[in-house]
Amino acid sequence: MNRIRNSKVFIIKDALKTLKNTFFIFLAALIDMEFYDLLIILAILSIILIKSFIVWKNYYISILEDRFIIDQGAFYKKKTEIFYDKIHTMDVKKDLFCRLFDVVELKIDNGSTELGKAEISIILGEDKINNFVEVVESRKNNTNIIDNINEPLKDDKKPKDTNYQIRKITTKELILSALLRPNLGTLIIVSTFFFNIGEILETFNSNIFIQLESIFNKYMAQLELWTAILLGTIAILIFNFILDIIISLIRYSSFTLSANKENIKISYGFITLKEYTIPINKIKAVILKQSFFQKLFGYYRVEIRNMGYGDEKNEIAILFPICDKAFIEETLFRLLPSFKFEEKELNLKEGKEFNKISIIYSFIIMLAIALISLLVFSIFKLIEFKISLMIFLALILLSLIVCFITYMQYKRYKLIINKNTIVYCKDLINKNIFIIPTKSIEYINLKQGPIKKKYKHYSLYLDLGIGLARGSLIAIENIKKDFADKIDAVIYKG
Amino acid sequence: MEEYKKLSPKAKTSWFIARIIFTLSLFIITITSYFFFKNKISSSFLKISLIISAILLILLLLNALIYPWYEYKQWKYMISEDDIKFSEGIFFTKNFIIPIIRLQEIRLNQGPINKKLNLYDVIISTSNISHKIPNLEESEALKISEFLSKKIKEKVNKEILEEINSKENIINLNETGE
Repeated sequence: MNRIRNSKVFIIKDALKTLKNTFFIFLAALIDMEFYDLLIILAILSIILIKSFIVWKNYYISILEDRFIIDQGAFYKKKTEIFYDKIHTMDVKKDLFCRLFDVVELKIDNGSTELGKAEISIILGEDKINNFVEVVESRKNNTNIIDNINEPLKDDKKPKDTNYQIRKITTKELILSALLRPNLGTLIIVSTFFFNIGEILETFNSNIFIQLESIFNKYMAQLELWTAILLGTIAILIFNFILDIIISLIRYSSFTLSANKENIKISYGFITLKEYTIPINKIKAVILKQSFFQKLFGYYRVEIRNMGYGDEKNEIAILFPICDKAFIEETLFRLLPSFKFEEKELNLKEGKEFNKISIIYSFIIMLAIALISLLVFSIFKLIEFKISLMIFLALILLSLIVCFITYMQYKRYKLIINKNTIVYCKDLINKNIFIIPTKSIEYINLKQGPIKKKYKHYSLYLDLGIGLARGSLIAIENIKKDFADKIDAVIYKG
Repeated sequence: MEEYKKLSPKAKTSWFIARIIFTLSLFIITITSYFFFKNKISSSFLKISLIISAILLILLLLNALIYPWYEYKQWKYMISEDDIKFSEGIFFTKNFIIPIIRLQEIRLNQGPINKKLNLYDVIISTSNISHKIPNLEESEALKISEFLSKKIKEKVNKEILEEINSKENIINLNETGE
């Protein structure tokens, strides 16, 4: 039996993590710090380090034929057994910290809810991590290639690299993917920066900046208001695009998609290198996304839904950031045949009924809210009548927009259901095509509010069983009962 | 088993007792807090707190007295060869359809009130979430648990057989060189 233990770097990483969580204690001690406070800080730091050392010392991974076992805990012993065939994702990460200490972090997601985050993290040297991944892969395929995990692999025992590269992103594609996908969040940040530029420049307290600001203000004052707004908007958009390009270039640099018969491998990153190994049979759904601009130029972004990929902060489960239709039809559907569908079938529309009443109902609710707010503002004189009237009109406009969007969503919705797949397409400003094999569906939830109950309509939720934070629920609004029954029959009875 | 069934009629009693106990406990806490804080906080703040507590208690009382009857009326479940269906909720109805093949765990739970009434909750868990069919008669709960365990075993055996067959097919194809 092979046993491995995390690299000693784990102690530093764990201590830093604890420090981050207890930072407020140190912050409180820093106020009017005296000699005794310094002693307390040192004592806490020592305790944190000792705790991390104990955690490290008592954490072992034993590798068996069909599973590996994690033994952890000094006082409360805990044993976790993970069978190789239950592993959903293996993710190799090399961030700045890892690079500094020449180690690699391996995260294994087994989809268990018992482990909290369903993830096991191992920090080791790159060679050992590679050995570990190979061991897991070989044991999954019942081919034992390694006798001792702590020994480097001999050349004759090294498995042949069966992964073939499918596609590597080019710089042109990277820039295109950033250009065609304006990020609303960045836009808001940039616009805040733009409209507060005076204040921001002042904080630098430099003569050059103040001079620049006065020139800027003088120039802006000479312009007509609308010209200034237009110029401002253009400046924001340009800034946003540049920022998006830089972020995309850094994050998705060298994005490479490789595969073999069982697994898909995704690797990317410039500062933080990431590599994911995802078993093909564990992929629950594929989503083809098109922003408004991507739609104009015929590009797609391919995302997947599975356990372990896309559940970290700021991480999206991208299979490939930008591609055309030919790539989807010729490569993607060959790689993932269970997700294949014919786009011409998407023209069929069935089951859904435009629920006029629900739109009228939502409009009436919005109107009531607008009227009540107008009355409250006027009676209690909280704000000027003019402003409350403006709020009232804005709410009316908002409700009209909501009604229009609901109507358009209905008009541009498409759905295919057959024995093996459900394809659901939402096409308004952005277009999203969800491809879900029926075997991926964990359970169905049909919801009905009082209005829908009256008109015998339902909201259908398909749960992929990968946890809500990972985008497990896919909602299809306003469907009829007989159609829901049809889905039920197709999914469960074939 | 292929028809919608109702929960045990004793479910109403179980819900009623549980909710009444909760409401009474909250009532006692409110009264104790009132006497404890009476002279410590301003009278206007005390008045507002009392009004809010009273409204809350009335709502809880309504929830204990009326809701169980409506809830019982709405609750129904069906266990077929392939899936489990159940429907709950009064104003907003939720209908769940769970394929038996996705089930990972079946558990029977019995709290102190249900012990007195001889009722069980059947907890069915998939890899992602747990669902509860509450307040079933003991015989019915055991029947469901047995039926589901048998079904899961059958499905798992079928899957293993299919996997072995497909592997054998691949080996045969490789041997014949096709």
